[in-house]
Amino acid sequence: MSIWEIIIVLTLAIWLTANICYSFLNKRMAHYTYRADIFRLLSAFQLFSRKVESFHLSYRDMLADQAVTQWEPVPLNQQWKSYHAIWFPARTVDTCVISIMDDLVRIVKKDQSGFGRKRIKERFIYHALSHFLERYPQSESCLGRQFRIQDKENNEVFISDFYKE
Amino acid sequence: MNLSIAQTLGLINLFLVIYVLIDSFEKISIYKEYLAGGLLSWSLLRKNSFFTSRSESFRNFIDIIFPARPWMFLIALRIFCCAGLLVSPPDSPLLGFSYAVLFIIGALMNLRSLAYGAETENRFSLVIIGALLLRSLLPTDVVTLAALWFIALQVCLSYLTAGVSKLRNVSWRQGNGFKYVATSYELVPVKKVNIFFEKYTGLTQVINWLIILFECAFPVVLFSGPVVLWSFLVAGGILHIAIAFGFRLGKFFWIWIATYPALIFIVQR
Repeated sequence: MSIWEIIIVLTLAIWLTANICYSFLNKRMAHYTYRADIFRLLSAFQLFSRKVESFHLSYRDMLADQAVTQWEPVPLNQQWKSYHAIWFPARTVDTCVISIMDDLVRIVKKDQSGFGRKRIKERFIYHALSHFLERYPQSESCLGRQFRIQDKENNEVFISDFYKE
Repeated sequence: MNLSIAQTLGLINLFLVIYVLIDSFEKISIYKEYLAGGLLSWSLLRKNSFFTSRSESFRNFIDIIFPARPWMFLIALRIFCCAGLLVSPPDSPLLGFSYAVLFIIGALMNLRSLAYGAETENRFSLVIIGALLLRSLLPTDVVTLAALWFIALQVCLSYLTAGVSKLRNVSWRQGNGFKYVATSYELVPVKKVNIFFEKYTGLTQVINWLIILFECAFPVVLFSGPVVLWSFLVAGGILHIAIAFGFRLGKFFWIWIATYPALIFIVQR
């Protein structure tokens, strides 16, 4: 074997070993790899292993006279079509919003008070969700928008303050 | 069925190209989401603490490549690289160049979408592209074999990890994991399917354990004969087709199937 062959084989071996370690020591290693592996070359493929929790997103507006509108549900699941098995670009946005909601709910459940932690309102995911909801029409005189996340049984998991982007 | 090295690499390339083309055109079709106001706009994503806590030079660099216009240019470049992979003769420099560009853009895609979590399919594609890139740098027999082994071992690891993590999950261990997935309208938005699996609990438990068995036992294909190999590959194909239609995760199919020729080649040796 030439020196270049050895280098390439070694590179592949190191990458594979690191991935094996990451796959089985995921939680312990994620703390270090989160900042170091910025291109996410290491992966643990835990396909559908987590328990599925579904959440519903809705929003309402506060009007100029301080009255609030009805909660409007945000549809995040497009009707199933057979061609979606090959072509389904809308999944990208739906997946992002579902991922944000999952993260938000996880943080809320972890820390109800927000004491000693970065306040939920200051987090990127909170900002991203409110940013996402801006696409839904609102009247010009609207004073602010509020969103809530409910679980499958319609229990309120999170409700935001009224905000104006 | 015996595959030569050229046929093996050709098949991996073909499935990889299909995946990259679908992924790239999907991204281009939701171009609006990358513009200001979109969920994937750089003006929003750059506010993530992962980026804001980085050095100024790093942020200056990503501020150049991640806004919508340069980013769409890079996505379009992926499409041209696919054309390069399809037309360039084996071991030509164009092949290596195409893999290098695909690898760099794929890695940047992971970085850009960190706030929402990098796409699983893209993460897995980097494993294949990375191996083929290294192989294209020095296409000797030793390196080719090492690259194919690497791809084969990575696909075994991916299934094994999925199987083991299911075993760690109480729902899957109790035989209800598949039922929760298949009856969830959010994951499988077909009421008839949800109701069917809600009704036949025995069947969902059998499928639950078959999936775990398939995933945990998958590495066995490396040490067994062609009958076992083909049984697993057919089962894997069915699983991925079901995932593509049920969960609408079609890209999983192409990128995971892309590794199968490497398995066939390794086992037949």
